Amino acid sequence: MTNDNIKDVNVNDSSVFESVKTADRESDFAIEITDLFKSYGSKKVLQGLNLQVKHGELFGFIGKNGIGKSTTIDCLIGSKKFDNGSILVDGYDIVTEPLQAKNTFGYVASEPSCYDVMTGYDFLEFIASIYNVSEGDFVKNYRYLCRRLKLNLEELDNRISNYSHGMKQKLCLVASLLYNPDIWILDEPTVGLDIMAVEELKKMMREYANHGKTVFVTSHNIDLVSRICDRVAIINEGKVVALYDLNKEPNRRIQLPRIFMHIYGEEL
Amino acid sequence: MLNLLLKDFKLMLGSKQSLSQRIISAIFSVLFFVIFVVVEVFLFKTILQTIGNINGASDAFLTVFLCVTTVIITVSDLFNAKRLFFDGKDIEQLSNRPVTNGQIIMSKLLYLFLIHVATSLMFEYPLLFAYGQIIGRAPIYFFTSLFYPVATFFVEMGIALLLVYPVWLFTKVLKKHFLIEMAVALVVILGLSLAYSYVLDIFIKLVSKNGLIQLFTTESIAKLIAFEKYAFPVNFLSDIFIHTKSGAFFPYMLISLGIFGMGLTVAVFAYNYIRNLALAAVNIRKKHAYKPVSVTKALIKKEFSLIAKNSDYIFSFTGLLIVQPLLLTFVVKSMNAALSAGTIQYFAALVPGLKDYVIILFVMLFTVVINQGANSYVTMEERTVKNMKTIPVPFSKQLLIKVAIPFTMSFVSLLASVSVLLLTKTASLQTAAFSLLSATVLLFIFDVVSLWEELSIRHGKPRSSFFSSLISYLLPITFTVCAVILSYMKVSTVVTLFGGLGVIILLSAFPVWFVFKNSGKLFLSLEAIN
Repeated sequence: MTNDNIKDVNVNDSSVFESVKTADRESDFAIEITDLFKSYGSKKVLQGLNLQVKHGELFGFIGKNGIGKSTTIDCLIGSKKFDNGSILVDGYDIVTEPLQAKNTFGYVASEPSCYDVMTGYDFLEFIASIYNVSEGDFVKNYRYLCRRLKLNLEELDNRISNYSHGMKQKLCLVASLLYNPDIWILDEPTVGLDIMAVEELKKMMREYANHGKTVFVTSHNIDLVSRICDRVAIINEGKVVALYDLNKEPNRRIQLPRIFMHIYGEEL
Repeated sequence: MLNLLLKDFKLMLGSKQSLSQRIISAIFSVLFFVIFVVVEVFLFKTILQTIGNINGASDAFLTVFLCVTTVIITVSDLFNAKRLFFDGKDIEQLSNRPVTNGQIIMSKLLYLFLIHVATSLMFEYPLLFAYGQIIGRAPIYFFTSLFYPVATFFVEMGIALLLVYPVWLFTKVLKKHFLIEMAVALVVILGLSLAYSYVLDIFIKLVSKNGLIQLFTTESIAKLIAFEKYAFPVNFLSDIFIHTKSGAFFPYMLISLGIFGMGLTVAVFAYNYIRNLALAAVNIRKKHAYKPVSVTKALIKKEFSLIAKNSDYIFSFTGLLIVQPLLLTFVVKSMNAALSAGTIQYFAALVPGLKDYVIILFVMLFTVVINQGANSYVTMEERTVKNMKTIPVPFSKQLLIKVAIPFTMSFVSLLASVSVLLLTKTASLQTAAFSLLSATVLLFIFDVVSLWEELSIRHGKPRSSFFSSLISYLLPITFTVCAVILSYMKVSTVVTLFGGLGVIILLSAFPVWFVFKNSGKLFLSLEAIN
């Protein structure tokens, strides 16, 4: 059976966002970082960072350039080892149970990381095979996600090396949700995306959280974070220095930039 | 029809390639052709000048050579016909053009005819020309021989067209089943190794005059003369073109046109059948059929995608792997000859088994030096190292697959090389077995150390290949030096060989253990570009 013979795919059906693991959750928190320390030589980047992200939350993680946001994410996804502390992802320790932890999240880097030599479709197939996605789920998910992100299905037959930066980023976004992870981790996901794609991505993040999934996003774009996030953490000097529940803040779009500037000793 | 013909010629010349690529490709093609024809004519002339005085021998050898070129050209015709008739894209593009099926088939036949004649002129006419020169034929012979390629077309193309559909079906099956494809590739490699060793043996005998006399005894020449009668279609053609027997012309034309007619019928039916299939598939061409595969298969597929587009692999690795048996045999034969001549012979006598150690040394050197073109396991990932780190697959499995692919390819080439050495009697069974064993051990150590170098890339700096380069030269030389010393001390050859191998294993045990123990830590410390 070819994938396209599956007629009952409703590309407007956001059920692809629905969690299949909700009942099996291992932990009260989707992400739990405790006393995280990380240095590069003598440079201490993270100095006892603590963070807890609840299930179903759209969580923003912000800070100025070079302050340790990406390092935190790299430790979180198991890409970098850390000096001390612990990280639990959906209840799984990223150090002692890395495979179980990695099965729970989808990750999008600020720079697209897909194989230029493959076609877009081959890349998605590769990711689907790695995460053991069934034939039906694969068709339903990739078509739905491509339509949402305005990634032309015919483009998937072309080699990724011919894609623009934005198209590559869209492909990585599709790949990150293909296997319906419980947690969606995005590191500066809007870099290189056009305004329509950014708006769609914002909607998708919100919808994902509304379906009981967790979204953890870092961004330089304070406006984006202030508009969509439920809670936001600001990092400074290797620690979380402020944690805001934006749903309780009526003037969130005005207040968040002010707080951000204030933390770094600047005034707006 | 002329437009269709031009289209096929443009496709053959690779119109999508840049001018420089086409020039390079043309230069290599011309070089290959010149080398082939020079070697072919050289061998042919050497034989004819040596045994030409034996009655009937010249004609028999011409027949043998023409039979070989007939087989080569028929195979070439077969693949040209397969490419031309069963190209799905071509079928799809022609389907909505105002051309009839008859015009398409005629244009393809005309193309095949022109290519066949050109190929035959390049490879067969020089033989006929050389024969005429040595025998001293009249000028009319050189002119009529120009029509030899035309005469061969009907039989050779007829056979090619008869086989084209079964071959297309067979290759389709191979493409679907990886294991069968591998098995067939292995059989072909072994077959080619055997054929190559046989040809090489003859060539070396031909080069040395004593060898030539040994090779062509009265009995062997008598057998060749007897073979001439059964060498269809060359026996008919030699009657027509060389012995100018006009009576052979009509039977030959009847037989050749019969074969061609059958071939054409099969090819036309197959073309129409495939065309209908392809046109039916046009609407679903872009449709995909995703079938979940195992993680291992997915990773292997990904590695092959990376490899297939990596020019280092294609040129410096895969290309060298193919020629490794040839290069190695030539070098080893030269070294053996050098060790058997002059004062070196005296020193060689002091060290029993020196020739064997030299063979093992060269097998090891060739194997690891060629493998150097394929050991950029992590570097080739570039930005996607992050994918390696975030997918839920043990790093050990990912790294194992990365290393196993070039290792296996090198091992297959090593096996073929050692087989050729054995079959051409360049190496004894004992030496061949030790060459295989020691080169495999060295390859393993080399790949492990290369992996360590790859995993140690930091701060965006290029990889340091110091240790792997050192190992690729130092360990084989250490092996040889140890073996020579032990042999000089009158230790038996088997003990010496095991001693040399033992030294290699001892020297590399710690680095290999270190890499295995720390690969996880190194993998995590590997920098992924954000």
